[in-house]
Amino acid sequence: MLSGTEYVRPSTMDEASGLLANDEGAVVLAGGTDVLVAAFAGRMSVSTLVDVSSLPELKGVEDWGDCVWIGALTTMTKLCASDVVNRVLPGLGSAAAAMGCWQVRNRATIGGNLCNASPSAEMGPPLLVYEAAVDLDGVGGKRRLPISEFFKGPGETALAKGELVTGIRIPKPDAGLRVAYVRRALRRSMDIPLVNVAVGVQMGDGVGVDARVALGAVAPVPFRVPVAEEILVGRPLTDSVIQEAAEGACCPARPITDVRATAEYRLAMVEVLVRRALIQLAEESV
Amino acid sequence: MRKQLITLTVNGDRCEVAVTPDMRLLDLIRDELELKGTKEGCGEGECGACTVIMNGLPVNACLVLAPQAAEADIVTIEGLTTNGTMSLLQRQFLDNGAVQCGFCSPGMIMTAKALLDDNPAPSEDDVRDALSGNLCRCTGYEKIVDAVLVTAALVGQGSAESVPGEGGAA
Repeated sequence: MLSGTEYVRPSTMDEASGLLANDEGAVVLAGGTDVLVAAFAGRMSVSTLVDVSSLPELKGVEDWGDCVWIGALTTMTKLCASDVVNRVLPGLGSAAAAMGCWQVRNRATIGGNLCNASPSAEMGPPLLVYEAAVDLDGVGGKRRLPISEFFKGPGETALAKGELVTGIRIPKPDAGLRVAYVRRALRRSMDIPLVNVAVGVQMGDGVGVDARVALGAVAPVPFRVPVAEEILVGRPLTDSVIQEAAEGACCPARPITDVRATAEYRLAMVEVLVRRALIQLAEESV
Repeated sequence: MRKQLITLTVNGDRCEVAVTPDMRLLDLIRDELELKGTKEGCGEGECGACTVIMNGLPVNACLVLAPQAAEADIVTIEGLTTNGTMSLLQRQFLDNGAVQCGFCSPGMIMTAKALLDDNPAPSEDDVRDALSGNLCRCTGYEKIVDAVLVTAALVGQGSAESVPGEGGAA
């Protein structure tokens, strides 16, 4: 519960990072769709909720020419509605549209989704495929990390004490890179994925010139699968190549059994989802 | 625990409320403003019973802290009636049998209102997608979807004026 908890809404980064650095029990509050549920259920003890929603450095979706910058406070609804996201990063828009339900998407932020660091984070696989970087700022100054180095384990990130995610920086992919996001959940709405997959393929002269495969919910953190990517490069996107890549993607997956599904089922779904994503991309590129 | 005064607009009225950090927007609405139409179902953002419209978008009032609602514009189910007369959308929920026990209805109607405000001519899929965060244990959803589609059709035909007490989309 939150009895005894303080609430502050700092108006500057310095104030926010100072509060987070000096108070052991301070927790960042943005959309609140994960933090408030955990806090009210007593799964998280909080001395101070630091509401970052007034920090201008965390806001906006901007086209910077060679990259797209997405402020940490950008909600899933704003991501889905963003022209530049839909045009340049459609796989990210699809993932944002799949999260939770409308009420949750209206509050849940991209920064919150990353910092909550669920193995099944909706934003994980697409940001890995788009080779995003995370902008951090805090008492130690600004730094930038590749998304692949940000997730450290379930609920654990590379954030230092007193540090905040300010935004996500995504290099604009080559116009030929097609990205698909697919997920398997028990229900269409309000359920986290059992497995989520983002796949990006760029074809040239009938063969793959760039291939990116990322998996979520089948290991402590979402990750890229080079073994599947190598199968796709230099070869046409035929049924047999697709099948080989889908099977290859299963090798590094180490899913767990939980209330939603068994490890065996999740592993079977990796093959199915990677195959579906690749079939979708093959049909689009015809 | 510090109390702080916040100002917000609820159903068109400016209110000043003393809030604490452990108070949810849902508690502010039900206990401080005594607007009991908004219901608490699960209390963790799964069921949508507490849906209100915040700055034009539906949100779960159980997942917004009261201090986060400072300066917000909130509409609750009470805000849909005019001088005690139901809106067209509310009327269609009744006329189409979309209300059984009624507990999910306020949240369901607020999400539907936000949808129709944004998209006056939704497809059935649009309605089902928009309402997917609102659970109903009675109706099986069919009648609810009907009620929203009928409302949209009536407004589209310009029949809204012929319905007593109705002046707008919802």
